[in-house]
Amino acid sequence: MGEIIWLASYPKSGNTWFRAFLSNLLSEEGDTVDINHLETDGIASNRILFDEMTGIDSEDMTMDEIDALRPEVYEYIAEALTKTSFVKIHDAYTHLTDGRPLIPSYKAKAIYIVRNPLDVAVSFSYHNNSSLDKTIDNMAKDDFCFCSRPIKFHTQLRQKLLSWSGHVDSWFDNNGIPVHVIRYEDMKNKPFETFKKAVEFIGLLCDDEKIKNALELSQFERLKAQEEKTGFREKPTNMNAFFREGKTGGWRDHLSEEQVSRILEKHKRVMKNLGYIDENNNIVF
Amino acid sequence: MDKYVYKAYGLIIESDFFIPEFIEFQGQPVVFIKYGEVKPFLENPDEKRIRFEAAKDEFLLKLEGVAKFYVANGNEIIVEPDVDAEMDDIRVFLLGSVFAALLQQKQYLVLHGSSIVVNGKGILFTGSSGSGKSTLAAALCKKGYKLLTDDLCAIKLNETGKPEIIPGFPKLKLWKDSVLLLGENIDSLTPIRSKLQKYRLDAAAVFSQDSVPMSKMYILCDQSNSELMIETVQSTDKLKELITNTYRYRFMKAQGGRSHHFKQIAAVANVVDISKITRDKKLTTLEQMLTLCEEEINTVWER
Repeated sequence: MGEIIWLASYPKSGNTWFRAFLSNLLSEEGDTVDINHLETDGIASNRILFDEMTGIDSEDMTMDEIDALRPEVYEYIAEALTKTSFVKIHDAYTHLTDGRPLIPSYKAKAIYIVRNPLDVAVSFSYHNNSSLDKTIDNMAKDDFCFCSRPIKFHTQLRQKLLSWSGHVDSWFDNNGIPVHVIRYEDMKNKPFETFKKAVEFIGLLCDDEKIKNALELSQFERLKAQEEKTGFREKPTNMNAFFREGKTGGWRDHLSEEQVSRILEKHKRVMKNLGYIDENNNIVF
Repeated sequence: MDKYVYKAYGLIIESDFFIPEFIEFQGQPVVFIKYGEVKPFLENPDEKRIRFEAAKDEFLLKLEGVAKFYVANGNEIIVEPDVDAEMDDIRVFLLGSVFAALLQQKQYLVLHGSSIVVNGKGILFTGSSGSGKSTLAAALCKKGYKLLTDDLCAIKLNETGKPEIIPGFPKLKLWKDSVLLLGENIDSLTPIRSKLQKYRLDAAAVFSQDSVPMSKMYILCDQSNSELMIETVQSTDKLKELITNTYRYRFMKAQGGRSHHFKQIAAVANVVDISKITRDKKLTTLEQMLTLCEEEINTVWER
């Protein structure tokens, strides 16, 4: 009997890194898993999957009509699973107008990966090839979405991200799905302990050696080297490299004081809860 | 009740309601679109998913806020509209998945794409949703090529076993950004549904009413960071591509059409050249695509 493990995160928070780790852990072969063929199971906002499951051309539907069917699509998939399936998701945990959650609780668990929003802002602005100020504004918008411009086709379904804090709150406060939270900074600073806990939460039986080996194979430098060699298909157009710096605290080289204070103003409460700001109001990473 | 009679996909169709997308016609209908009560489920579906069920010669699609549709034996479509449904909404889905199921029951090969006529031969542009099939077909029609189909491409084998593309109906479905890209006046167009910024472009003036032999298929691929390039699909990969680009392969399989479908795609693979055009939609202009395609389709003719 399988279940869906949602790999949930705001963009640029370490989701791909976590998927690379899982792929290396699940891979039968000893070689490093190809970043263009990760062994996880796609993304929740995959349009083709939706069309296949419903028999309807989602491009002829409104975004709200699509959302109204998404819970059933995920329940159908969960029901049909024979093994654990890992699905990436950037949607916030939201509810439809009739009160149903977008992500049903039936046979589902979530790993929620979170990263210091100061670093997310820098990474996200590179990712979208847009200015830091615009990125900071977007991260503050309570109704921010991916793929929502109504005048064109989008390869993926609309994803409501909410603000950065809203995204974190939505997954933390959900009453339906058990969530295991991982901080990007802990993945970086105490990898073995952090990844081992995640593996235990998922319920995979792996010895410590295997985890260490998978960690070794999915080191940031290795992923970056692979991208340099073969490219990465998930890299957006106009972005130089998907795997850029992969470090913590890089924001100090990029953000102005004013930009930092705008992020703090909007996200202070959540940052404190996550330990990104300590009791003396100092930024931790 | 007044009946409307049309011709589309080579079939004479009688309908209980107005379908302005189709061409009016006089003749003995072989397909009947009726209002009526739709059964809640199929007795023995071979495939049952979130909103559709399919069995041999039977198909059911249920869309809240729009309608329930039941298709049987390749000659009957029953429509039960929801209370607050708009006719535009009903027709969008009728002319999509529902008609595809009917054509499959009729044992047509239904591929996902738009096709045009070049010197008497049918050229199909296929590819996944959003890959630019309709936009490219529309741009080529503006250059004087004739339109055969948009979205659903119905193919039949003729008496010598060669595939022919059957003309659909003279409309193209385009998102607003494509309409603007083509330089069309958006104010003169009607959205396909009041809730969507997607429009129907009339192609009556450039519509081919005759079936033509299918000679070439292009698969459009939108891939981040890719250069504009064209490559031939090797014979060994042709069947796989034809299955991938079959419209709603699952419906067809469940409706008992699997072995027939295989014969059809094998016949297509035998005589049709297939090439893949890859580009990054963000980096390649429509002009560049047009130049490449015109060069390409003209060599098809010379060969």
